[in-house]
Amino acid sequence: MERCLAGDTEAFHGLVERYQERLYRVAYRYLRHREDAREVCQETFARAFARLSTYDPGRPFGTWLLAVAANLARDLLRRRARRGTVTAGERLGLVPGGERPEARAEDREEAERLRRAVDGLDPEKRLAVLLRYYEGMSIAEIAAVTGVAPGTLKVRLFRARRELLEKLGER
Amino acid sequence: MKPDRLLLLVEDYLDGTLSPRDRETFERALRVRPDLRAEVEACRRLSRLAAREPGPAVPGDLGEAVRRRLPRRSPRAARVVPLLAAAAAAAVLVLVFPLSPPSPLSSAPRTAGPGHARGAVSPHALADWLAQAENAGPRDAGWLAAEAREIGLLARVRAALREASGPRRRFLAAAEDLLVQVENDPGFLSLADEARVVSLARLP
Repeated sequence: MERCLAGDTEAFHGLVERYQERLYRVAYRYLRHREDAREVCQETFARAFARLSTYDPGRPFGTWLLAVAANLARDLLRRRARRGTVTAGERLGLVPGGERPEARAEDREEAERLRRAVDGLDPEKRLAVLLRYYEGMSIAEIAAVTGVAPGTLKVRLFRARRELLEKLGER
Repeated sequence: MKPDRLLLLVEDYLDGTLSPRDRETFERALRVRPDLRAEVEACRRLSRLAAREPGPAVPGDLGEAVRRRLPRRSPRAARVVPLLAAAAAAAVLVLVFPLSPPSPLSSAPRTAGPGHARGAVSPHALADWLAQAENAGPRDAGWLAAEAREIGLLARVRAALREASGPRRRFLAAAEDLLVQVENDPGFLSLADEARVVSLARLP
C-alpha cells in the first residue's frame, strides 16, 4: 500500500488483483448485469487510482474501494431506471455466472430462492443485505461503505429480513 | 412500525460489538423472548443461505482491462511533469526578460466565460464552482477552467489545504486533483461525474 501511495502503478495492479473478485461479486449481485458490473469495477479502480491522494490509510482499502463502487453502481442503477433499460433476464438471475459444480442441487435451489427475493428488494435494502449477509461485513463496515448511519442500517436490515423471510414463506 | 431496541441490537450482538452490560441484558432477554431468538436465527439463516450461492465468475480479462485503463504514469508523476515544464518555462521567461516592466495588460480586467458574470469572489467559490461542474456538458470544461483561473481557485484551494485536516483535507485534496485535471484537459469529458464524487467527499 505504501508503494501505491507513492505512485507505484505496478503496486496498484497488485491491489487490483487482490480486490477485483470481491468488487465484481458485489457489483454483479447488486446490478445483475455482467457488463455493467465489469464497467463499475473498471471505473472504480480507475477513480481509486486517480484519487489515491484522498485515501486515508487509516481506513481499510477494501472498504474505501467498495464505497466508490457502491456510489457508481447506485448511479448506474438510477440512470438505468430513468432510461427504463433493465435487462429482465439478468435481473431475474437467469444468467447465473459461474457456479461451483460441487454445490448440491437443493442448496442451489434454496440459495436461488433467496437470490430472487433479494433481487426484489429496493436498491438501498438490497445493498445492505448483500454487504451484510453475502459479504459478511459488520455494521460499522457497511456504514463506512454506504455512508448510512448504523442505526438507519439496522432498521433497514430488520425490514429487509421481514421482506425476505416473507418471500421465502417463513413468516 | 419501528422495531424495539433489543431487536435492533441483534446485528451488534452477532458482530460482538455490544458492551458487556448490553450483552448481558440481550442474552437475558434471549432466554425469555422467542421473537428475539427467531430474529437471531433469521440472521444466521440468511448468512448460511447466502454463503451457498455460488459467486459469479469474474471475467478473466478484468485485471488486464483495468491495466489498459490506467495511465502508464502515476497521477502524481503526471501532475509533476507539467508543473516542472511550467517551472522551466517560467525560469526561461525570467532569464529572457529579467527587467521588463509590468505590461499594462496585466492589470486589465480579464474576460468572462460564456454567460457568467464576474464579481467579487464568493466565500463559497469552490462550492459554487463544483455545483456548475456537476452540471457540465461535453464542452464546458474549457470555460470552467477559465473561470477557476480567473478567481484563482486552485491557489485558494491549495492555501486552504495547507491548514486543513481530516475529512476537509481529503475533500480539498480531491478538489485540487479535479482542478488540475480540468486545467490540463479542456476536453475533460467526465467532469460532471468527477465533480459529483468530489462534492460527495465534502459530506461528513
